[in-house]
Amino acid sequence: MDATADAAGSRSSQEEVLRVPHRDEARAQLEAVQALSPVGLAHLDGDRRVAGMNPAFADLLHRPPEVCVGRCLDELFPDAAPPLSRVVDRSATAGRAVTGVAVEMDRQDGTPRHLEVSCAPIVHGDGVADGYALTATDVTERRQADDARRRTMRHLAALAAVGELLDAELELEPTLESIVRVAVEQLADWCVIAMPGDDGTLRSVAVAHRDAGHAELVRRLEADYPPSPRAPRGAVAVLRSGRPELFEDVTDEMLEAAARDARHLRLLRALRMRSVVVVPLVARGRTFGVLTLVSTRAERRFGRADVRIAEELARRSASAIDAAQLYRAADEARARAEATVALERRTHEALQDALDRARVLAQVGVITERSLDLQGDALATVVQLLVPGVADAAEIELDVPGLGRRHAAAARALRGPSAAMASELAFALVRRGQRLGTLTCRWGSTAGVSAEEIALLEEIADRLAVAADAAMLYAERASAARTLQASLLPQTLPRVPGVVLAARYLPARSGGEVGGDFYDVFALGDGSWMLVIGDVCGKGVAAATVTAQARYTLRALAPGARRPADALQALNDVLVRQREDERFVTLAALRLHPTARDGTARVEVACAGHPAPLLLRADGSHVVVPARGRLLGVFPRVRLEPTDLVLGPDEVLVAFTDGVTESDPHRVLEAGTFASRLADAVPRGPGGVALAVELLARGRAPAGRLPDDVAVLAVALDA
Amino acid sequence: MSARVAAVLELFTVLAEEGVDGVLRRTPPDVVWAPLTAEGREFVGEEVREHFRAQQAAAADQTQHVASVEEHGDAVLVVGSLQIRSREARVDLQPCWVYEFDGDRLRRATGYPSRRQALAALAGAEREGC
Repeated sequence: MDATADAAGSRSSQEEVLRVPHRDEARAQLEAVQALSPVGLAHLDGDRRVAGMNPAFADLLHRPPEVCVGRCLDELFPDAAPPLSRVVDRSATAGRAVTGVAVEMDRQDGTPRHLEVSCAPIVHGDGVADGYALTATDVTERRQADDARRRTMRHLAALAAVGELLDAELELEPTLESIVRVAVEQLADWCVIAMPGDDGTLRSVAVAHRDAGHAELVRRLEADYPPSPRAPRGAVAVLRSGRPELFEDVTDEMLEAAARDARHLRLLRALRMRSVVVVPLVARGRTFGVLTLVSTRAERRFGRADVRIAEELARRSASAIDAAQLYRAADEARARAEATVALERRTHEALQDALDRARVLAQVGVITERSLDLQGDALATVVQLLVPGVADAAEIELDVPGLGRRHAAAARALRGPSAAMASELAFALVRRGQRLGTLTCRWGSTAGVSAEEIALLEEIADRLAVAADAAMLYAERASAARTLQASLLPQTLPRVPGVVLAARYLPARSGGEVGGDFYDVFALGDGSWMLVIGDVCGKGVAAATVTAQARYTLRALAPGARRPADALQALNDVLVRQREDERFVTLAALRLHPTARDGTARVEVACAGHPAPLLLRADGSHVVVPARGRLLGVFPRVRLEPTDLVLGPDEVLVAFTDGVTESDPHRVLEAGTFASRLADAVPRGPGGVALAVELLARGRAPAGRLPDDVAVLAVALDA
Repeated sequence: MSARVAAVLELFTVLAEEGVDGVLRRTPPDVVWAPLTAEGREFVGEEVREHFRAQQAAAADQTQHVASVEEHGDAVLVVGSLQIRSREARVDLQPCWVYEFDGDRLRRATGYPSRRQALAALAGAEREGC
């Protein structure tokens, strides 16, 4: 291999100087090689003019060799960049071969041609260079292939980078910034993404420029001179049409035509746009923006291939942006949903709070309405309703005339170092101008109590005041009732010689009204005693007047009556004659004769519509005293079936009103069954039997609350 | 009137005027109390106070009257009446209270439903004592 070919082919610098021992021989050899070489070879003389060239070099010039001989290289390649003469200069200066210099020039058709040029000085034996060997290889195709490869690599890198956004980035702004950044890194000198705003005007939403300072210039340009919505070309047109636009060469004339004023033109020129591609951003069939790639370098002129790449970039970018927008929309939707949920939760909580308050209020209402006397249980239930839902501690103090002092408190255990009540609200319980007590609520924190809670507490305090006032009135009424009731009963049971008595009077439910039940024990004057138990229909004062009338009329009539039944008959006459309200009276009258020598006592019994008395024996047996008759006060004549019985030692004779047997309104107690249940109490005497009657009655009453008054009168011999 | 009877009547007066506390102040601390209303339970000294307080807590007010007093050996029997008034009930009883003494020292007070039962109890105690 000769030195020239080696220098051109391998670009090795080992043969930096061509040494020709014999001129003629060397020339012949050189000319042969030159003729065959595909590489353009030229020989420059000491003046750096073309002394000769091979056909390949002549092909580069598109001129015959003879036309070129004697001419300077720059004359032959006027548009070469860098000028070939500079390559020769570098070789001459270095005194050695300069290889592989890339030179670009235009073909005759204007397309670029890329040459790879090497130059080496030709030195003779004296060491003086008297010419230069020049090789030039057309590497345009290879260069284009390399450019294409590099461009493809950049494109692929750009597309890959944008594609990664789909996976990596879901926020809109970072997605936009990443796209323009990637585009500038790989495809263009600046990149703009523009999207229509709410008013439809296209606005830049992301800008990147290879020169950061120019990015601001671009933004200023966009801000000061937004694209006209009617622009026939450019970004607005692309947004409108959805088709890409390529401005392969942006000329100054184009800038002048586009500029709206001198400043606008200055800005446009300052940006040095050389080539522009505008592609639509399309996702799911909707064009929602445009992506603009701008080249500021002459050597980077966009072509159709760039448009395709830009379109692909835009397609992927659009997907990423769309995903980010969807994410933002979803995020906003989620945020809205969360806000809605939070609002609903707050609403629900508020509603729940309101419901809780309403529930508390309703329960307090029920308690205060049901509790006629505001006993401790009622107040305790109220404070327990307030803790901890409304307050950390609650206390009710009542000082109600007729009721006395009542107090109830509840508190939840506070935790933490400062586990003490920090705030307090007290509500006076006032009714009809009279202070009846205080509702006090306390909290462990100083956080404010809501207006709703204060309203609730005020309402509860008001209800408590109403209840306390009602309890006061009820107490007054009950006291009056008790007083009146007491007047209808013997102040104390008289001591009957040789007899022990026991009586119980149990007012129905509330005890707020005067009942119609009564009993009486009085002497008849002949040594016998009359034991009476009765029941007047109805309650209240009207019934009380009948009760009083019946009791005292009987007291007046009985001593003169031959038998108890006669006394009851006479009483009926009086009641029928004197009363028109048809209030009836039931009565059992027992005339107890003195104890006989055998230790027994005779008892005459008459019943007028009244439950039959029971004779309870010590052996557990019993007798339902068979005395019957119609009730008194309604019919002019009553038919009575009196009976006599003998009361023996250790026996108890007990009479009672129907409040006992009918204490369970749905299941009237049959007399025999009733009597058998009292058997165990007989050893405890009349008192024990009377107590057993009460317990039995209360046990059968719904919720232990007697629906009707109960009177019990029991007697036993006590000789 | 014996000292025991006088002492017993004095206790009734004190009970009416000063309540159970007054009675307890005037009686030995080891007296066994078996009130009729206690249904068989017994209390020693001050323990009976709780029984009466429980009655008061139930808004029960009671009064007792002496009808007759009689002595039976070391015991004083009081036949009387007891009225207990509350919102729930009015109860009239005619119990017999037996006060048993050891000398002049009150040893035990028991309420019985009737004099008959009181005497039976005393008779039984005497039999046991024999």
